[in-house]
Order: sequence, then C-alpha cells, then structure tokens
Amino acid sequence: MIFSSPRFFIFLVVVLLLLAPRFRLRLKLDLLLFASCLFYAAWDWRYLGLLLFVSAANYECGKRIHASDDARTRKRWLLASVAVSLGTLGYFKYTGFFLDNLNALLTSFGVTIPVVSMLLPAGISFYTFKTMSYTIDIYRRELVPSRSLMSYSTFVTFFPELIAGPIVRASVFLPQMERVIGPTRDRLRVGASIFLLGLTKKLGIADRMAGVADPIFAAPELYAPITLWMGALAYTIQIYCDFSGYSDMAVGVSKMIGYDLPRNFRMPYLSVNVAEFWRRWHITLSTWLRDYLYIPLGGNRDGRARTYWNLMLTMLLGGLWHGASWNFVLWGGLHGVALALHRALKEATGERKFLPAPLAIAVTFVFVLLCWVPFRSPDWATTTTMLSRMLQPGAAGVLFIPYALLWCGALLGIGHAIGAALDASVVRPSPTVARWLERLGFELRHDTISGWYVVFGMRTALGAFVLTVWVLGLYFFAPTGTSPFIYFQF
Amino acid sequence: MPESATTPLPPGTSSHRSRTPLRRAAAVALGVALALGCVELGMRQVYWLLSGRDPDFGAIPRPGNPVHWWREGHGTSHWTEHGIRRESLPGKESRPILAVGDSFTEAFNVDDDDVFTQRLEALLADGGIAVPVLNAGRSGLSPADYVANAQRHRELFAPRWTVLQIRPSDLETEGFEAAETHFSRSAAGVLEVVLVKPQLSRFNPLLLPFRSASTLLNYGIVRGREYRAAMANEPPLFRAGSAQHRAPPPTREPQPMAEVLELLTRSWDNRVTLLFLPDFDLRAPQLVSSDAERIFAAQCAEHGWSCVNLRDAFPAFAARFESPYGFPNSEWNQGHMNEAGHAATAELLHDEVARRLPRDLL
Repeated sequence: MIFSSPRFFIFLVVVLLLLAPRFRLRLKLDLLLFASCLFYAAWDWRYLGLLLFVSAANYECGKRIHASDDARTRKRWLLASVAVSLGTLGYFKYTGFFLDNLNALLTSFGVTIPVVSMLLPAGISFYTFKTMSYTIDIYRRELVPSRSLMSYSTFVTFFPELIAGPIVRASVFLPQMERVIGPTRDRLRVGASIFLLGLTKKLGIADRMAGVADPIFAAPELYAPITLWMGALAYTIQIYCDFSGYSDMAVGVSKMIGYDLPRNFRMPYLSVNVAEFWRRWHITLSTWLRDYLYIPLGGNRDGRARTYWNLMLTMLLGGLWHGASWNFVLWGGLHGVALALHRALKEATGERKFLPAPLAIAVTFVFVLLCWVPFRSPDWATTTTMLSRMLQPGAAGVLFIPYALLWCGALLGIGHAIGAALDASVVRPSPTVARWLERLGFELRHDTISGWYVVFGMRTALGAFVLTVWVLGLYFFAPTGTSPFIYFQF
Repeated sequence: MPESATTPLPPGTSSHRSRTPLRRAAAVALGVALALGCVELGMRQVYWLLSGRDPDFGAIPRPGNPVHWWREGHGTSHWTEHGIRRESLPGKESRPILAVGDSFTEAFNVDDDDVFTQRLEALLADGGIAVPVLNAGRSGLSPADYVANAQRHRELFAPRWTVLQIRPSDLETEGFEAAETHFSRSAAGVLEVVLVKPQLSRFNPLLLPFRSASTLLNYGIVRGREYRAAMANEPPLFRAGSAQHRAPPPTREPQPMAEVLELLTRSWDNRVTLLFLPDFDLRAPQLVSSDAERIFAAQCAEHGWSCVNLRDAFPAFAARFESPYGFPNSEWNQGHMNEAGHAATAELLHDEVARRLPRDLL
C-alpha cells in the first residue's frame, strides 16, 4: 500500500474519519497505533511481530537506562538496545551479503555455506535508526522515556514515515504526542497541499524519469554516451523526486493527522560543494549519522587524519545502510573521499572560493550524478559499463533523446529556484517571490520543524485556476501503474 | 508541544483579503471554469479523438474529424466512413489494397503521410501503379476480428489484395480472449470465430454527446479506465511486498496458431499478404524469439503464402542503432511503430506486392 496508490487514499480517509470525533487523546493514539499496524501488515503481516518486538525491547531498555544511576548498568542496557536494533538490521539485511562474500572467499577451498534468501522487512533501516536514537538520547540524558509502551509503539510505527522516513527522532515526536490530534479544516488544507506537491513529484516526475532511466541501466552497452548521460541525469532527477516526493507526502499526511515531521530535503542540487549537498540531501539521515556515528567516533576533534578517517567510515557505513551491496559501499566511499578532499581543501585555503557559484553548483551536480551510477546499477558490471562508456565520447550506440527528460528537468529547475528563493532567509522568504506566489493563489506557511512550505489556495480566481490545472495535469499525464518508492528497498 | 505557529507573510502580501462568501465563491467558480476551458483547449492538441459508430465495425474515429495524438508519438490523422484512414474513400472501381490490423496499422502516433499504407501507395505510384491503399486498422482488434470482418470488408471495398497485420501476441493470446471476439473450437473440432459484442455501460449513450463535445470528459473517462486497470493489477492487500506471494501467471494451453493463420488466409480467399511485426532486439536482430514467429515462418514456407516479416529490416535498423518502435515522448524500442518503422514496413510490402503483382494482383 504505497502513498500514490488509490488504496492508500481509501485507507487515509478511513483513518482521518476515525480520528475526527472528539475522542480522548489516549483512544485516538491507540487508533493511530492500530492503523499503523494495519498499514504495515498490508505490506506483509509476518513482520509486524518483529516491528512490535523491536519497539517493546527498546522501550524496556530506555526505561531501564533512565531508571538507573549506575553508569555500568546504563551502558549495559544501552548495549542491549543497540544489539537488538543492529542485530535485527544485520540479520535481515546483511546476512545474505556477508555469506555471499564469504562464499566467494571460501570457493578456492572448496567450501560453500548455503545462503538463505530472506525478504527484507519494510522500513527496517528506518525504524531501527529511530529506536536507536531513542535509547541513545535517554542514555545521554537528553530525553525522558515515553510514558507508556503504547505511546512509544505509536511513535515507532507511525505509518506516514514508517517505511521510508524521514527518520524522526523521539525528541521531536514524543512532545507532539501531548497535542490533540485529528483532522481540522486547516490541517487538511495544509496537509493536502504538501501531499499534492509530493504526489506531483512522484507521479509527474519520478515515475516518468523511471521510464527513461530503467531501460538505459538495463542494457547500457546498447546506448551512445550522450544517451547514457541522459539516463544518469534521469535517475538523478528520479531519485530526488521519488524520495523527496515520499517525504512530502509523509509530511502532508502527518500534518492532516496533526503532527509535524522534519524536513528531509532542501534543494540539494543547488549545493556548491559535497559537504553542503549532505546538509541538503536526506537531512534526517545525514544528521543522524553525524550525531550518532561521526561525532561518537571522534568527529573532527582528534586531528586531521582521524577526521578524514571518521568522514570516510561514516560515509561507507552510510552507503552500506542503503543496501547490502558493494555498489552502495562504492557510492558512500566516493562521497566520503569527496567530503575529505573538500575538508582538506578548506583547511588548506581557508574560506576562499575557487569557483563562481554557478560553476561550483555544476561541478557538484556532475559529481553527484556520477555517484548515482553505482547507486542505481543492479550490479558491478553495469556500473563499470555505464561509467566507462559515459567517458568514451566516440562510442557508437543508440542515440535517444527522451522529451520527458527536458520538461521534467525544467520542472525540477523551477522547483529548486522557487525553493531557494523561499529558503534564502530562515526568518522570512524573499518578498518578491512571496508576492509572486501569492498572486498565483498560493499561501506561504512556516513551522519550526518542517520549515517553509507552499499551500494551495482556493480563495481567489487565480488560486482556483492554478489548483484545477495542477490536479487535471496530474490526472491526465501521470503514468498509471503504481511503482514502489525507491527507498522502500532500503 | 503546541502546534507550530504560522509565520506571517511580509507586509502587503497577505492573502486574507476580506471578501463576502458569495464573491469568493464566484471568484473560485470563475477560476475553475477558466481552468477547465484552458485545459480543454490544450488537451485538444494532445488527445482529440471523437468516436463515431459504424453499424458493421462498432466504434470508429468519427468521419471527417481529424485525430490529434500526442500520447505516444505525435500524429494527426484523417478518417472517413467505415473507419478508413483517409480524407475520402476512392470509388469502388479503383479496387484498392486493403490493410487490416490493430493499433499498429491504425497508427495514431504518426501523421497521415508517414503511415505505412500511405507510403506503400506512394511507392506503388512511383512505380506507375495507381492503386489506393486503404488503412482499416483499429485499436484492440485481433485476428479473430479480421476473420469476422472479412466478408463485410470485401463487400464494402472489393479489395484486389489485402494486407493482414499480425503481432506475436495476436497469435499467442489476443485472438483467444473470451471477453472479446475470439477463436474457439466447435463441437466438431473446427476452429471458428465467436462474436462478442462490446459491453457498453448504461450511461454510454447518455454520455456520448458530452464526450463528443469535450476531450476533457472523453480523455478523462479513458484515463479513469486506465487507473482502474492499474488498480486491478496491484497486489492484493496483505501481500503487497512479498514477491513470493504473488500468484504465478496461469499456464495456457498452446494455441492453434497454424490453424489461425490458415483460417485468416482462407477467409480472405488467399489474396492476402501476412505482415508480421516481431519485437526488436538490437543485440540479436535476426534471432527469432517467439513460437508465433516460428510458426508464421513455417506456415508461409509450407503454403507459399505471401508473407512479409519486418525482421528482414532489423539488421539495417541494428546497424544504424535505431529501432522501428518507440518515440522520443515514450520509450525507445517500446510500444508502436515510429516513422522509420512505418517506412521500412512500406518498403518491404512494396517489394512483396510488386513481386506478386503480375501473378495475383491484376
């Protein structure tokens, strides 16, 4: 049951109807927990037990960490909690990868260990990070445990962001659980607007781009270098619109219910360097990795060499978090090297800028695009074929210029430009852009967790015009098949 | 934590201007109406297909109305009576060549001058043979329909020769779908055609005038059907993520493809050229990949039928790294024939028809 499928709309309407009456908050939270479990079970009911077990175990560990003043006891319970979360993740996600590689090494000795193929529980990478941050924050005395197991389970299983993030920390979510939830007119309007923007990114752009990228990555040896670059560009657009579209939909659904989720993307393809890219891309993951991996490893406190090593290790593990494949490790490694190089350059030259901003954006964009090649490729052979042929300008092959790439690229550019103009100031967006958007019938909203966002208006003729054209455009031009979100596989 | 407050907009940009509810409703209605009008005008360039009804052949593009098609490829086509792609029908005395097929022959995706029937007519004319080539292609038809319609087509057009376009799926599945006109074996074991009238909803006659007036409504209904079909293909609830749980595709009995081909040629008095359009694989352009194609080739050789296989043009396509299928606004090598595919088809047909001409055609 994915957000862009008609079945999800029915589910959402039922959930909102259930949350609408003035029931007690406790009852509403229980209904929300039940709905989340149903949503997860719709994917595969067998792994619902695992999700609830991980929730219960971490809840118990958190309670015990908080209850104890003995440092060793606290550490023991923290380790237990991390062992449950990482053990589950490791077992389901990396056993096959580990055994495959072990078998590759043992083949020369004539030994083979049988590999059992397992279905990866949906959202496991996301909910294990959520549960880990909860107990680590309690251990660091930065968070008070949740009041009850039911409340905590509602947080862990919260269906809008259960499968593919944003990775919400307990410190952000638990305080919101005191608030009266349920749809109100304003919540519905704001939530539906953000959801529609996300749906447009997913159906209008990402799924279109999948139609361009998929056949090219399936047989890169057939295509001319320029077509391969277009395939890589299509995937660059696809993955952003797919994932940020999902995040927007999650934020929108949460707002309809009454919760604010953190922002996950901030126009990443306008970054002037790789470090900035990671401050704009999958923000909830990059900040998680910074706070719970890079800084505990020592961060930049233990000298230059150690800092580079920490950066590299963080990015390699970040790559591996995405999937059990050497392609993801390579992707993470490339970003790690780029981050280390960027840091070295910055340390050597201070804040001096080498390139004008547009050129720096272009260089960063091309680097990110090339890194998406191993990320998207199904295997090592595809990665090497793609990259080697992309860099052979004279290679013969199919020359195909998909029109969809042109208009999807243009839409992405416009979206990034508007987003950048809104984002130019944290306090208040550019008055010109605000006025321009208002004339088109939009309304600007801001909250401290999700940042600035645009709400469709139906109060003026122009607002009604824009919204009607938008909805009809999506209805007429979106691909009809519901394709899963890319990050579901992680 | 209280709900996050909305930060006010910069001065002078507030959207909360006071208006009476009535004025606001009027403004919204105006905006919606303007949007519908603009989208209607825009959509007419993208998808403009007015349906008419022919007593013999059912739904056809309405005669006299051009069809604009941008969904896949980009074409404008003109249609006349009985679903023939042409500005007007030639006189009966001209004894045309008739091309019968599905959406690959109908070819909304390309302009009139690019479709293979028009190109064939031009090639024949260049060689001094003035014979009209009538395009009777229609989306969704299968060889069962070609057999069912043969008698009526012959009465209407008295063709001197007929081109029957076939794809692998026509022989493998599409001629045997029980929901549509299909092949079936009689009690006596003879392969015959079972006619199935299209099921129209109760609202169809009511909607027809509105559908004819508005492509927004017409295409909206088409899209609605596509979304419904996509929904039906979604995995069942509680099995969504599990690949193992998906039911395997039903195993089918091998279809009597050779018999279908025989029935096809027989129903047109053997005065036909069978045009086969196989899938294209750039890596192995000459590799026959389907049983349907193998049977087609074997039957053609055995019976000495007039047959054209687009595969003969595949090596040339492969050498140019091109495909006869797909468009820049859809996918490369997917979907319908593009202009190059139609040109190659016309050339192969021209060679075949010109070769047959002295013996059969005159």
